[in-house]
Amino acid sequence: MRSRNRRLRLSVLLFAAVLVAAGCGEAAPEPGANKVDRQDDQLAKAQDEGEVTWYAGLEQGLVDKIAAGFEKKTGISVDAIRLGGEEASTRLLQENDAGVHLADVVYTGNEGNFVDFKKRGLLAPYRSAEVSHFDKAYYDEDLTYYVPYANRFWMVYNTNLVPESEVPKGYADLADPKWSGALAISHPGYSVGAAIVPFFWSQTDGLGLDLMDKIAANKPLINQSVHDSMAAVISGERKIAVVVNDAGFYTDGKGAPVKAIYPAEGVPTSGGGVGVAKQAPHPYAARELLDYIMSQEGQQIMADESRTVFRDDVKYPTGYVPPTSGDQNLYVVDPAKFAAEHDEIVAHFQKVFGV
Amino acid sequence: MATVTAPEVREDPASGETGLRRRARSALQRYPLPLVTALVLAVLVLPPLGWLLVLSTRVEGGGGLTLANFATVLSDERYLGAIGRSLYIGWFVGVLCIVLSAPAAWAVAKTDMPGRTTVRVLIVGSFVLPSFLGALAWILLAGPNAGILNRVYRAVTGASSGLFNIYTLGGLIFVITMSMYPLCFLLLSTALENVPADSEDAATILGASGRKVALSITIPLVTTAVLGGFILVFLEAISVFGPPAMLAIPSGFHVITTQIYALLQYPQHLELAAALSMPLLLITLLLVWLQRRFIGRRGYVTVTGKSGARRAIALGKWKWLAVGYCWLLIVVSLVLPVAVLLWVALSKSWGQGFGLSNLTLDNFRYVLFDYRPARSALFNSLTLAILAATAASVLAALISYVTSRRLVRGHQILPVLTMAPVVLPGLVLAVGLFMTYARPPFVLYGTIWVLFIAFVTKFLPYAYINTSSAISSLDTDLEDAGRIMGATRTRTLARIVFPLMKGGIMSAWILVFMVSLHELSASVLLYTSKSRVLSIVLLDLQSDGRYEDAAVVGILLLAVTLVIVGIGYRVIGKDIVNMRTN
Repeated sequence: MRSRNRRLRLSVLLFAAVLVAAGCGEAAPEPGANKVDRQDDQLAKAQDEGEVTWYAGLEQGLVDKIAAGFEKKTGISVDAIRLGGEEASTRLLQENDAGVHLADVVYTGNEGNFVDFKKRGLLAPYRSAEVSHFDKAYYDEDLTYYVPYANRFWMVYNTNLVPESEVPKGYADLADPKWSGALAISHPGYSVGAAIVPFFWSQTDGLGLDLMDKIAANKPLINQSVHDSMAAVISGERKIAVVVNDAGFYTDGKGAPVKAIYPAEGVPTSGGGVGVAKQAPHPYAARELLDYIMSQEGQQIMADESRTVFRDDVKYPTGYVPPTSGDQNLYVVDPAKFAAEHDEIVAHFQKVFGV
Repeated sequence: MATVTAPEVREDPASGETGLRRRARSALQRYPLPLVTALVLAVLVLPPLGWLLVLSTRVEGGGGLTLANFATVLSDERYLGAIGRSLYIGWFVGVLCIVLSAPAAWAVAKTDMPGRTTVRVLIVGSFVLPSFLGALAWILLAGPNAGILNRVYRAVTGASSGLFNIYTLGGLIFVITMSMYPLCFLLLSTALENVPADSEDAATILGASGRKVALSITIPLVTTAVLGGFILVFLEAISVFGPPAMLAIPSGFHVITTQIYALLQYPQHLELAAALSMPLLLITLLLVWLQRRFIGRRGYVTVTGKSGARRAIALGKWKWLAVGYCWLLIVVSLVLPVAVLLWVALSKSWGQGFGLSNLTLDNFRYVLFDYRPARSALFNSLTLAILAATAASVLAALISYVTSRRLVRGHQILPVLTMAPVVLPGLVLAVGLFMTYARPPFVLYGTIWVLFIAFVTKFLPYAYINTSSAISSLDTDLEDAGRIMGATRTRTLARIVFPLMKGGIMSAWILVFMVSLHELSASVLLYTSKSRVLSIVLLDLQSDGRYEDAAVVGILLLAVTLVIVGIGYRVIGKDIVNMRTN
C-alpha cells in the first residue's frame, strides 16, 4: 500500500515537472547572432542550425519553389508555413505576446505590416548581401525589411459567363444590380489585398468606402483569399472576382477561361515585405534565407511566376503584362497611410457584410 | 463544471508532521486514486475555465473588473444575431435528425425490410465522414452555380438557374443534419430493438390496433431516446465549427463559433471572445443538466426489460417504400459526398466538366509527396490520435474498474469528474486552453501537447461511457477466483479484467482515435506552424480555393479512418456499430 502511494506521488510530481519543463523550452538566440552586417561564417553557422521556419504570406506554389531552391543551395531545410498575410501578422504578434518564438523569416504581401512590426520591435536589422542590387525605395532605411516584389490588384471575369460587351469597365460598375449573385470578394480580415483595394476606393474621388455597401447589396460570395475568389470564377460559381492580384491571376488562371479587367479608376499596387524576426530561433539560417529570396536566383523564381520584382537582372515569361503597359493606371499605395487606415477598413467590411 | 471538493480530512494528533503537508499526505493515503484523478482533471479543466471567467470580466486590454463585455455581447446585434442563429440551427438540426432517422430506425429495428443489416451498417458507418468533409462535399455538389447537382439540373431541364444553394442558413442546417442524423438513428434503433415485444404483443392480444400499440407502448418507451438524441444533436450543432466556417462566412453571416473565432483574429478581442463563449457554455450546461435530470445518468439507451423473440412487422407492399427511403438517406448522406470527393480529388480542375481528359493522379502525388504541410500534418494527426486514444481509454478503463468495484473511498466522485468535460464545447475549451497555455507559466502553445490535452479532456467522457458499460456487464466471480488463488490486484487486473474488458476498451480506443483524427474546432485555435493536423490542412487548402487538393486530404482522412474502423470491426465484431458517443 505504501509503495503504491509513493508511486502515485511520484507520478503527480512527474506530471508537474513535465508541465514546468514545457514552459521553459525555448532557448534565446545566442548573443552574437543579431549583427547587422553579414558575418563570414554565417553560412556555416546556418548549416549548423540546420533548419529555418518561414512564415510565408504568399501562395503555396511559389513557397515550394523558393524553399526547394534554398534547400538545394544550402542544405538547410525550410519549414515553410503558408498563411494569409493578415494571419501571418496575427500569429507573429500572438506568439510574441505568448513569449513563443517560432518564426525566423516573415513574409507578407503588405509592406504596411512591416511598418507595424518595425514599430513594435519585432524585426532584426540586417544588411543583406544583395542590397546593392536594389534601389533605396525597395528596402527600409534601417534595414529591418526588404520589398521582394509588388502586387497589382485588378478584377477577373469568366469569359464563358460574361460577354465582352457587358464586362464592367471599373469598380464603380460593380454597384449595378445586374451583378447580383455574380461577384466574389475576399475578406480583408484574412487577405491583405482585400484591404488594399477598398483603401484605394477610399482614396479615390467618386468611389469611397460606400462602394463596399453597394457591392454588399449584390450579395457577393465572401472568400478568405484572393485565390479562393479566383477559384470561384474559374469553376463558374461566380462571374467576376473583385480582388485578384498577379499571384492569383497568373498562377491559378493558367489555362482557365478567365481575363483580367484593369479598372478604369486605377490599378492599386503595393509592395510586399520580408524581414528577419528579432527573436528568430535560427538567426543565421534566417539571414541566409532572406539573402536567397532577394538574390538573382530567388527573384528570378518570382519573375518566372509573373511576379513584379525590382532587380534589373531578371527576365519575365511571355504572357506577363508589365506594370508599364499603357492601359494600367497604376496607383502606388503608401504603406504607412494604408497601415493607419487598415483596421477601419476591416471594421467597415465586417459591418457591411456581417462577417 | 468540474468543481472538485476535497474530502474532509480529520486532524491526526498522533502524527509528528504538521500543517498542510501532513494533511495532504494523509488525504492522499486515504483517497489516492480519486485525488489523483481529481487533480489531473482539475489541471485539465479548471485553468481554461478560470481564464475564461477572468478574461470575460476584464476591461479590454487588461486592468479592472467589468461586465461591459457581456453587455456588448448581449446588446450588439451582430453577437445577438450569431447566438440566435446558432440556437435556430440547433433546434432545426435536432428536429430534422429525429424526423429523418425515425422511419429508418423503425424499419431497421422493427420490420422485415430487406437488407436491414446493410442499411444499419451504412447509416451508422457514415460517422466516418467528419462534418467539415461533408461541408466540402456539399459545396462541390450544391454550390448555387458551379455545384455539380445544379449543373446537371440545368443541363437536363434547360433552366437558367440552379436548384440548390448551399450558401444559405438552410444549406448549413442541411449539411449539419446530414452529418449528425446517424447519431439519432443509432439511439432510436437501439431503443426500438429493446422495446419488449411481449408488451406490444400483450396490447395486440387485448385488441389494440397497430396504431394504438405504437402510441401507447412503443412511442412512450422510445421517448427517452428521442429526447436524448435531440439534446445530443442540438449540442453538437451549436458547437460545430467546420460547416459554418465553410458555408456561413462566405454567405455573410456568423454563428457563435465562427464569431468567436473571428474575434480571435487580428486585431484580437480576447475579452469579447471569452464573453461570447459564456452563452455557449451556459446553454450546454443547462441541456446536460436537463438531460441528466429527466433522462437519467446511465446514458440514453437505458430502456430495459427482457425482450422476447424479435418479431418483425411484415411490411408487405410497403416494403419497397421503406427500402427506397433508407437508401435515399444513405445516398444523400454518404454515397454522393464520398463520390464527389473522389471525383474532385482525381480532377485537374473540378469546374471543367466530367470528361476523361479532366482526370489525373497529380493531386495525390502533389499532396502525398510535394506538399510539405500535408506530410507533417499526417504525422501529427496520427501521433495525436494514437496518444489521445491510448491515454483516454486506459484512464477510462482504470476509472471504470475502480468505480465499479468500489475499490477506494471517494470513488463516487470519479464518474462525475470524468464526465464533467461533456459540458465544454470544443471551441470554448480551446479558447480557455489557448488563454491558459499561450502565456507563462505553462507555455505549451506551439507544441502538439496542447492539442493532446484538448483531445484527452474532450474525449475522456466518450471513452468512459464505453469502458464503464463494458465492466458493468462483467461478473466479479473470475476476479475473486484469481484473488483466492493468490494473484495480486494488479495481476488480476492485467490477466483477467482487462482481457475481459477488451471489447469495451478497444471500442473506446477506436472511437477516440476517430474523433481525434476528425477534430477541428479545438485544433483551429490551438495549432501552430509546428503542430498542424490534417483537418487544418484541409481547411487551409479549401480557403485557398484548392478544392482538388483539399479533396485528396479528405480522402486520406477517410482512408485512415476506414482502415482503423475496419481492423476494429475484425477484432471486436459487429458490436463496433454500437459504440456510444455519449
